[in-house]
Amino acid sequence: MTGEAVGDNVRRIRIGVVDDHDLFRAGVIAAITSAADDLEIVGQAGDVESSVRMIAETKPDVVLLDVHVPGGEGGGGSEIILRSMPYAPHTLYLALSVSDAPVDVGAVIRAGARGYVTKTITADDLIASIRQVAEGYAVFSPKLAGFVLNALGPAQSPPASGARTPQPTVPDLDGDLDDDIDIDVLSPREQEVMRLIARGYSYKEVAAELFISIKTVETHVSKVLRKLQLSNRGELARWAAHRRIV
Amino acid sequence: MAEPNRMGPSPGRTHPAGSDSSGTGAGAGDPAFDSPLRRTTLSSLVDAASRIRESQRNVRPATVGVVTALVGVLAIGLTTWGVMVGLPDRVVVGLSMVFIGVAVGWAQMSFVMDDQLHPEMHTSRITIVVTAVSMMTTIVGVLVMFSTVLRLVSLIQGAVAGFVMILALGVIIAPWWISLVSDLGMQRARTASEELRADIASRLHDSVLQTLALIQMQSGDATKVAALARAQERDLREWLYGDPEAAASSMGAPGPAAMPATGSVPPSEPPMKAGPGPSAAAPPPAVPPPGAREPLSRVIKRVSAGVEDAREKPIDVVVVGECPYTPNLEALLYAAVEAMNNAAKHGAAPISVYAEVGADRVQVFVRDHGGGFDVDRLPAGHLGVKESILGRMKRAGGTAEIVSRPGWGTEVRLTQPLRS
Repeated sequence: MTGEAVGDNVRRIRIGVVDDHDLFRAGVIAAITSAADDLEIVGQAGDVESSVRMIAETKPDVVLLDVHVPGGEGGGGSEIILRSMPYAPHTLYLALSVSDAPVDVGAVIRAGARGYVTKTITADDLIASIRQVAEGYAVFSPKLAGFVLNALGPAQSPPASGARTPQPTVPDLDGDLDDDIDIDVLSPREQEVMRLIARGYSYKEVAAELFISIKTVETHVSKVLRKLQLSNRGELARWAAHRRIV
Repeated sequence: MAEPNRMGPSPGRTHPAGSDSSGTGAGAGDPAFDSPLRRTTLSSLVDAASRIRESQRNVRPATVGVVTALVGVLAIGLTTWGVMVGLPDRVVVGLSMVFIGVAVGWAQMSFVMDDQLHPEMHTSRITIVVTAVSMMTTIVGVLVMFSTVLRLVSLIQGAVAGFVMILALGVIIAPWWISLVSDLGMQRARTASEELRADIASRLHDSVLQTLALIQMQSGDATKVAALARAQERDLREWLYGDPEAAASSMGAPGPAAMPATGSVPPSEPPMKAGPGPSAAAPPPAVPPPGAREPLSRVIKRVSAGVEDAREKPIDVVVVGECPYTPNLEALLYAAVEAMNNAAKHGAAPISVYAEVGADRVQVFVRDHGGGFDVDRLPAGHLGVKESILGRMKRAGGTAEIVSRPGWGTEVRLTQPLRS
């Protein structure tokens, strides 16, 4: 999914903005264009149909995507991603929403968004996140990291509901093995990274704390994102099934 | 909140939205997508509202056992009375049968039998069987009674004539009956959606409109406005996307969970146990009423909301895992509040609170991105850190660690082992 979309920093990043609130859209566009020269707004839209059309025509590098967008079959952001994918396979998505409800986060991440930030984010952080996504990396806010730990992490001590399969403990001590076998469990290293992000550490601070490079942190985060998108575990699978996103 | 009410959506109530919040494949029809916003808000609202109503209803209609016993006792009483008065045997038997038939038939009515306790009673095959049996019993009873005065042939003729007459009358009444039933259903739906709308309106009036008014009044003070907006945003978000329990409690009784939207200091019920020091000036956390086993995540979110409101600085809260809030977590909670207060007072944004419930311990991390300070050379009288955080955790059998670096900020790491 990364691959061609990854470009060097000199290249301009072409951005599409999808949000049904005109004012918010205008605000985001103003913030982006005034703060950075290499970011270019190539399109904007306010509902599902026009968003899909806009993405298909302009093929932006990154689409800032509101989760709740009217139109279409009522699927909002995740529907836009799924329907645009055939037309613009190299476009990456950064979800931007007022909601941080697990259902919403789960749905758009499963649909293929590369990150999730809330609308209260500062302009600088938003631009940094856009760059990160454009480079092919995932954007994890503390909330999203907490969501991942809740969904895939081991920290569910009291059985909250029904039958839950006992935690398989992965004997992956250095945590750097590529454990593609089990997509339902985070490796210890990934857990550490997620935990630090949830504690409010930036990628740089995570790297310093764990004595690894920022690139390694970004690789871990991308791997976690992939697990999140592929996992069949519990809640995730149920949301996916409920919304026919697999 | 009594849990039995969660037994299932009552068939008697007609919700405009699907009354299924658990998402076990309730989608009406099968639209490929349904908006989580629509589903979450409407269904959790309806759930919350109906739960409040259930909890206020104190008269419980009878159960199957009670009804059966009552009918039996009354039937025996009636028979005894008939025998003592000296009625003919057949009349007594017929009378009892008619009574039992009628009584059982009526007992299925929703105001006698609780449809909340027996949701299956109004829909299942049992209902049809019971109704048929009670009708048969009544008919046989009537025939037995009249067999004392009539011959068998004329009895059967009379029964047939009566049956035909009932059939004819039924056909006449049918249209009226059908329209009555459908009207009732429509009216119920309308009432439910009307109630929902009124609920939403009053909620928005109490929160959003008030806050907007406050913002207009204080439009000169940027930090104040930001704090107001933040508090309102958190409140509204909790209501829209939060757990329905919390929404229910904040809708029902304006307790500590329903913080007033004015951004004021939360109600100060229990005093801090720290004694003098900087913490005495700090707002105490809103501690839940004793006995109520609240989930830890909700307690942490509430106390951080209190700090956020009082200090007018945004705090990000992430909770992983869940456990009930018990008294042995009290020290951890107070230490965390103290750390949040310090972060909001001396540190800089972003301030993050991360709590994790493990199998045998609960950890809370409070991180700010301020200038940091030298932990080993605290100014004298810095009771907040020494006493309220380190000392308190030590006494409670937990550990506290403070990491602070210039330019990096400060992180307070609290660990409390769980004893079961």
